Amino acid sequence: MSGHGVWARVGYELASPAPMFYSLSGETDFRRVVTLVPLVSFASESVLGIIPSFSAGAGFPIDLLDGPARLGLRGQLGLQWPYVGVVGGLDVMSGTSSLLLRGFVMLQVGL
Amino acid sequence: MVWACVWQLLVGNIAASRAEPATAGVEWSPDVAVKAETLDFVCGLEQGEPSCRFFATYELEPLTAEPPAIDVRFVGTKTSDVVLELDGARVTGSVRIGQRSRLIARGVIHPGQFVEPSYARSAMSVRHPLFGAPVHRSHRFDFEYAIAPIRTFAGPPPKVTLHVEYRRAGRSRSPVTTRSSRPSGAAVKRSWTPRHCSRCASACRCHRRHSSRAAPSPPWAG
Repeated sequence: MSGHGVWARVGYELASPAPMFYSLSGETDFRRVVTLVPLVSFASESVLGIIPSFSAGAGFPIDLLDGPARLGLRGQLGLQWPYVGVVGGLDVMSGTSSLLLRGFVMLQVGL
Repeated sequence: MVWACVWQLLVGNIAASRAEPATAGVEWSPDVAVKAETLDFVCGLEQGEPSCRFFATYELEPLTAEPPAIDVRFVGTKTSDVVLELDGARVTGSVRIGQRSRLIARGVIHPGQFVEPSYARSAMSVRHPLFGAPVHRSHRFDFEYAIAPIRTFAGPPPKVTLHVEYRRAGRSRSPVTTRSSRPSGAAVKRSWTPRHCSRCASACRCHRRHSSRAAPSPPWAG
């Protein structure tokens, strides 16, 4: 694992039943990687919107554009207040010769 | 989305005819005894809103040789379509009763609705406050029906039969509560709270049997 950079992502999610969320998001580093991430997460209730909704999820990131497509595993944790939140996690990506570890922390806006 | 709901039926008392005119309360026609009283409630959803149809039957018997005149009226809150019938004929105001007359009051009770207070906000509403699907919160529906106080009826305490039925959505009949009692002077007050109501999405399917004693359904319950 080496280097760092700025990433951005946009996604959509469904909930059924309510505590379970199923999302699909696209992420990019604006240079050479675009990643699709289907993810399943569980989110707790918030208290008055002050104590955030905690979430934990797992998914399968798929790297595109950067050579052959690569499949990985993602573990993700999140805190969400109304409109804003923080998401962090770790990707373990398969490579041609070795595994690629990729950690991230993102600010998130929920509409 | 979870819509937990609680139905509650409260039966209280108001004043009616009295056995002892000297005591406090509304005094009218102590010459009529109520031999039996039957109360039937059938609750269900109508156009998405819960409501109860009631059917109250009073077996009246004069205590004097001369057929006494009585004032009949129904007092209730959040009721509609109330009809009073004496021996099969619609009546209002003052009527004379014969031997073993049957007075019937029937109509519809509408509930009060309260949102259960909670500090919790669903994950959906927190994560997507603008475009998230609406989240149903727990509601409670209270039905109130006031009956004449049994202790103030003239004559000996009548036999009182109370039958409450709640219909599950999409089902024709499923009684949940049946009570039959003979009060001994004290006002009758019962409260049922059918619970076991989680995950009610489009229609509540609350169902709880409170008594194993079966009672015949009212004739108008189709």
